[in-house]
Amino acid sequence: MTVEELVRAAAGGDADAFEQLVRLHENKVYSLALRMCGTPEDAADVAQEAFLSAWRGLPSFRGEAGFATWLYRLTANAAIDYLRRGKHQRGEIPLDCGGTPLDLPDREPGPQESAEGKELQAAVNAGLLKLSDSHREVLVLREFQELSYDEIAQILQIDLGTVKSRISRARSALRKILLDSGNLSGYLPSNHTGTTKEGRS
Amino acid sequence: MRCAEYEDMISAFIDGALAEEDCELLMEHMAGCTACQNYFNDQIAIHNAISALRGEIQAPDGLAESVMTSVRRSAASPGSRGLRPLAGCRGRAPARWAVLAACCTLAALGMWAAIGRGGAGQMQMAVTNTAAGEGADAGIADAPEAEESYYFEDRSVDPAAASEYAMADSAAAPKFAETGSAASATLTTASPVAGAWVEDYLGTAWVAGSVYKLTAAEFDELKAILEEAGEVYTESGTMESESFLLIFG
Repeated sequence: MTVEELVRAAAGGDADAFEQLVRLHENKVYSLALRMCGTPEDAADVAQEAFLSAWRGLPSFRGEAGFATWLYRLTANAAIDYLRRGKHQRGEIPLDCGGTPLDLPDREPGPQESAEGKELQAAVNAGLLKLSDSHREVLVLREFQELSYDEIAQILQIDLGTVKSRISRARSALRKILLDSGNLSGYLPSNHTGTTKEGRS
Repeated sequence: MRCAEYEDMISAFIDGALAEEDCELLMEHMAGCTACQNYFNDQIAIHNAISALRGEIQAPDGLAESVMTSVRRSAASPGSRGLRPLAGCRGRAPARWAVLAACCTLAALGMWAAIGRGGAGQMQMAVTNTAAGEGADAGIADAPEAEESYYFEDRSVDPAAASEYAMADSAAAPKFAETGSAASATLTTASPVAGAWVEDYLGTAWVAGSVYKLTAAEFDELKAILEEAGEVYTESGTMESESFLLIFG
């Protein structure tokens, strides 16, 4: 069965079809929840809540945005509710999450660069959890879920311009966190991290 | 143009959303601005680090099973997805809420009084009230003008667990704030019982003498149903304060 067929069957009350949808999407939903909440325990709660919301909402799901986008929206909303209820505890997300760097140079990094890259990844991982909830939400949706501005606008129910500017502010805030903790200095090829404030108009 | 505006362009560039003419503007600016070059390089490095962290994280074992346990429990009742039609009733009968509310109020106050006193015997009294409430419900179930109505799935609070909390500290009984008649009540997290329940749920409602725990979405749905039916309800507490929200007719 295709996802569309599973969605139709689940909307009609077929729990087995819904289970297939859960298993197809559980890693993505859990990943999003974990990135947004920061701890495995919170993420599991949020993921569960998102799937139950999906089950409840399927009969009225019209499919305009696609099931996966709709499910991510439910997950993001569940995470946002969770964060705003102040129930979360900031934790640590394991570094070893898979994935491949997309824009690294073609050449193989030397041992030192590789170590520095890992160090920066660890710092970014920790820095994301220090962002404000609204900055982390938008950056996770963009960078980890790779959602478009339009999709993010739908999920967060903010306009497109706000999405763009909030992502930019979030990136700026994350950079500041990394600069303050000394994690960008020495990593960049140009080694110009210390001049951030200088000479800027 | 100020550097801060070029930061927005750099962000859009990373996302592949920068128009060609803006891209040229950005490159021209960066050619003469070391600070923006650094900002650009930093952001590319951060983006690459995030890319390396990207990828699905394995969901914990049992997540799907846990979800499906809840789903199948609700699916066991035809039409139920957290809300299900009242048995034997196809219609919305506004009067139902008034009847239920009357039962609810009595049973709820009985239950809370029982919990407040901290005795299992008194708790039994509340359960008796519950049965009476269900009887009243059945009495109006076949209203001829019925259209459609809902009540919440059976997730009633385990009275034993509730009384256990109360017995642990009977002095810290739930705080009632009755207003006039027994039409509304406020229960705050000052109560150990409430404290335990609000941990997972934002609201409660009393229906046919049983205590039901509701999620925020369900709670909103219940309020909408009540409003549409023209029923009077009272709510108190806020999400922020994590106070209980109670509904009575």
